[in-house]
Order: sequence, then structure tokens, then C-alpha cells
Amino acid sequence: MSTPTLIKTTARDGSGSQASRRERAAGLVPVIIYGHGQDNVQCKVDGHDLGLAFATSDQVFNLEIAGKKESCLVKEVQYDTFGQRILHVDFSRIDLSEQVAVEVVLEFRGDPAGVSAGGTRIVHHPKLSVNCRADSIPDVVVIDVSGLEIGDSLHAGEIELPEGVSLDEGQLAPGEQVFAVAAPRVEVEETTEDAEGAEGEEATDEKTDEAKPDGDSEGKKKDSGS
Amino acid sequence: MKNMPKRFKHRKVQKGTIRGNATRGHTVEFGEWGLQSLQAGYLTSRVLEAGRVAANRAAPGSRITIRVFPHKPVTSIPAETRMGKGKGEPEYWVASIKPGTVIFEIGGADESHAKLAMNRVAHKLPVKCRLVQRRVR
Repeated sequence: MSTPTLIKTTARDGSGSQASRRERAAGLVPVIIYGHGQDNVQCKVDGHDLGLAFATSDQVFNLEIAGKKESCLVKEVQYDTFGQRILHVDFSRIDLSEQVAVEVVLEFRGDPAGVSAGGTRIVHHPKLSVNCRADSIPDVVVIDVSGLEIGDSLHAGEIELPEGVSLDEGQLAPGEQVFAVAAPRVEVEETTEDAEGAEGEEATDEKTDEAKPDGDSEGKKKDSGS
Repeated sequence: MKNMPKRFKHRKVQKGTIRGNATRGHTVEFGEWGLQSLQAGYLTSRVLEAGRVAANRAAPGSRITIRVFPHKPVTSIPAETRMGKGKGEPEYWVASIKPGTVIFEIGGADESHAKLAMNRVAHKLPVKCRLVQRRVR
């Protein structure tokens, strides 16, 4: 693992939603640092620097808090509705030699044989919960799925993990499907039925639409008659 | 199957207003690509069905997920009706959409097919949309 990226923090003037909004408007991101039996520290980070730091696959960062460097693990990142702006980050203090529970991205390589035969690739879990040392969190776990036929699946317990990394069975059972190649669905009949159904509905709607003015005219006649 | 609730408490509901951005249902959860609304609006059950059919035709064999449901009845009064006589009858059902809501998701398709399918769907919808990918980091 390379040296963790350094993120400089500054103390926050106030807490709460109003203060947070003011900081966000100034291009800063409110963050909280907790863990290891120490007091929580609320501070702010430059949004641009944070964005650059999070563009990498790192999960552990060095945070400079009041002139002191601490190793921290990203616990939670809150984004805005459109997923473009970071609103808030939770950091947890860690010791680089301790075991941590993190989520690692899975990269499925190769085209499964079943997909070329008409099957559908289904990714049930794009990430895997693992336990490992904080200084050896893998960036990505690569899985070769080229040998999977239709109906085959890959379970969490079958994934080969790097040395020192183990599956977090509390989060994901070893028997849980992670990747599967499903049999092709009988789309032709369904689609035609749907199409006919949709057309049929439209046709009936059109009929009802056409029928409505008649009903109205009847009502009008009644009105005029009265 | 008609895309409307099986049962409902009230036949007619008030219009209400759509305020603010979506605070939930704004991330891709079930597929790999999604279609996110950039505007507020109402999506009728017919529009959602048209989108589903379009997506299935553009990317056959993929898994399409519709993340919204038309819970809201919309009433209308017939043309050339005199004033009064109360509120109209329920005509169709709509899903109320806030900006940021993920409307459709697609999984099990390669990138080109997924983009094509979502593009076809976007053309069916009365709101501006954008394609979003599932966030894995």
C-alpha cells in the first residue's frame, strides 16, 4: 500500500445545518472524525482536495487535525441528490496494523461463455465485504468469469481473495450469489404479448375516447332538453 | 396487467405540489445503469409501460426495473360539460416525480445496449433525464 493521501482539515466555527450550508457554499465540506475512544472532532475540508482524494480507490487517508496527523478510514460519504457534490464525510480513526471491515470493489473480467450463448450476466453484489489489515486493503478484487455457462453462479465463498483478506461473513454469507449467468428469458412471446396488450389498451382507450363525446352529446342533449 | 394500485383508500386525491429534490430513490440500486429525472412531473402509467416496452425491445434479455409506481389518480371532467356537478371521475394514474428520482434501471446488458435502451426510454418520458451509472466506490 502506498502512503495514504494527506487531507488538511480546519476546525469548524459552528455545527448544525445552517453552519454546514454556509461552509458548503464556500466550497468546504463538513467532516467528522471519531473512534478509538477519543472525542469526536468536527472539522471542514476543502471540497476540491477531497474530490481529488476520493477519485482514487484509497479508503485510508492521513488527516491533519490541529497540526497532528491521524490515519482515518472513510466510513460514510454523503452525496447530493444528483451524486455530484460531497455533502459530508465520516472518518474513523484507525491504527494501520489493525483489522478493519471494509467493502472492496469487484471487477468481473472476461465474457462468460453463457452470455455468448444468449444468457444474461447478473451482478448481485458489485462490492464485497471483507476483513483485512488497514494497511493492506486491496483496491479491487479481480474475478475471471469467462468460464461461466448458463445457469452457473459465483458465490461469495468461492472468490479467491488476496492473502490476509477474508470474507466478512457477518455482512455477506459465503453461500450468497455474487455473480450469475441467467438463462435467456422468452422475450419474443412476452414482447409480442405486451405489444399487443399495449396496442389493445390503446385501441380500447381510443374507443373509450371516441365513445366519450357520444356520452357527452347525450348529456348535452339532456341538458338542452331540460 | 394494468399499471395501477390493486386497492386504494380514496378514489380521488388532491393535486398537491412537487417541491424540492428527491431525498430517496435517487441512486441506482438494482441494475448497472439508470435513468434519472432532472425535472419534477407526473409520469402516467401508459408512459411507464411504453418505456418498459421500448427498453425491452432495445435490450432484449436485460433486466429492466421500474423504480416508480403510479399511485396517484388524476380526474378529469368530460368536454362540453356545464359548470358544477362536482369533481370529475378518475381517468388515469400517475407517478409523482421529483428531480433526481431514478425512474428506470437496466442490468444484464452491455454498456452500448443499456445506453441505447435508456435513450429510447428517455424519449418516451415527459421529463428531462440523464443516464447514471451505479456508484461502486
